[in-house]
Amino acid sequence: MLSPINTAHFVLPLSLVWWIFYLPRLFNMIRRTTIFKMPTFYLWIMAFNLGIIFILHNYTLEAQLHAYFVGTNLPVISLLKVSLSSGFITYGYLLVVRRYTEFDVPRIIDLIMLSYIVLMIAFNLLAYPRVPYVQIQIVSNCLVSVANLSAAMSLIPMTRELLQRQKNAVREAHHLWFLAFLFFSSTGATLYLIDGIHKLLTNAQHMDTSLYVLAEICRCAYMFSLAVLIGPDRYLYWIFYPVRVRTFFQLKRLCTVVYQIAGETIPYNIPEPRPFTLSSAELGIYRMFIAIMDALPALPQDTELYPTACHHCSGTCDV
Amino acid sequence: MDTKRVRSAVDSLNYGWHRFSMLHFIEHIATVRQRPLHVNGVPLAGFSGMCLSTAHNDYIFYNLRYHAILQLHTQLHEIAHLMLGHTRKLDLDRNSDLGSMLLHINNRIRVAPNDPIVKQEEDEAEYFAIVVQGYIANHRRLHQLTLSDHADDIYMPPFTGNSVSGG
Repeated sequence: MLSPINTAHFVLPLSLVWWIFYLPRLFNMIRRTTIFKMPTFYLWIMAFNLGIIFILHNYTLEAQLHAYFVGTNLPVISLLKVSLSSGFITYGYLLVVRRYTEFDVPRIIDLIMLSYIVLMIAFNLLAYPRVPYVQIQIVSNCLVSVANLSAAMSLIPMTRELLQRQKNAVREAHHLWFLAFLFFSSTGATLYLIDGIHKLLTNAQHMDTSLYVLAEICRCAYMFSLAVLIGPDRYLYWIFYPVRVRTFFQLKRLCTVVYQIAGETIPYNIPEPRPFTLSSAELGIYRMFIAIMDALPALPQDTELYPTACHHCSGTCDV
Repeated sequence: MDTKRVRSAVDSLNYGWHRFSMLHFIEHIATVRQRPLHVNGVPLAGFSGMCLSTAHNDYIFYNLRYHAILQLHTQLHEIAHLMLGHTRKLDLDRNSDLGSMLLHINNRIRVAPNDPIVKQEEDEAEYFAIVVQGYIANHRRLHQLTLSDHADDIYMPPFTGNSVSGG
């Protein structure tokens, strides 16, 4: 099914935004003496490279770039894409794996070999002049997607396991975003793969199919997740926003019930915060807690709510 | 209630909210008011806290029997009373009995619900506390009031290699 959306129209501006956002950060990092310390340097370079990969993965943009190298005997752009992608997938994930786990030789070999195979197959595509470039594009995208999918799949269970162990808010936020990154990455890769196979089988000429547009949107989502991961802390916490809003409204209902049972009215006639932003949602939760605590002394002790409320205010039931 | 007056009172504190901790904030209030501020927890019964301003000192008492989070909130609320000029200065000599001071305050509190002026002062103080808490939340320091764990420790997230601080 064809899509009316030209993916190049949003992929190019987004990749430019990515660079504009990260170029100053990269230069800032270079000024520091620790920049050359692994894995910081490599990760930042990889993040920067992602802007290039983002463009090269788009069929339309890749074809336009390839037009400059039509005279050569190599599919230069395709090779560049496969090399950068393989590097990103293999070493980028490898460093994360090493950070989180014991040195796992089979997994590392698995990743390196996978990337190596992808690279070798790409070189086999040197049959370039004999095969239409469109097919080379599709095949190389599929190969990279397989490698991407494999790496993401190996990391998702590990990240979920780490998430269950985290009690610290910032770590939890990091792992949630990382999980989101892996989810979008693997979903995007799967869609690329299905779309690529379908295009090869049907010998499609029109690149912007609905499936492909969806895959590109997934890629935008994973770039966004990565931007949040690399960016300042304050963006990280937004992943908690839906949970905070839910807690706020639950507490608000509880507060109303507590005041009804206690036969009290809320003592202050002042505007309370509304959960429009993350910090105001957190403030709202805090305010609701204070309001409930204020009403607790007036709550009859024979109500079902009293022991529950006391339990949640552990160690301080003497109200 | 004059919300603008309360907001300007908070803004006039010129406090660095990104460094907020209750102790630091109390020290700052004492500096702003240019007089010692004594904050004491006492096992009171019946109400959460009170403030008192004598000729040379400010006092805040809060109920030690209440939840720790509520104790901190009470301190903020009482600081608000001090900053908004809700306290009547007591001309007490050095030998004054703390008990009589408490009795004085207790009487005042007891009449509070029926007194519209005191009711307005209570609203203003609570609004002051909300504004302060809003600044604290915006600077991601609410954990100082909720006494929750926060990532002040060094953490190496997957892609940055930078330490992440709670500030």
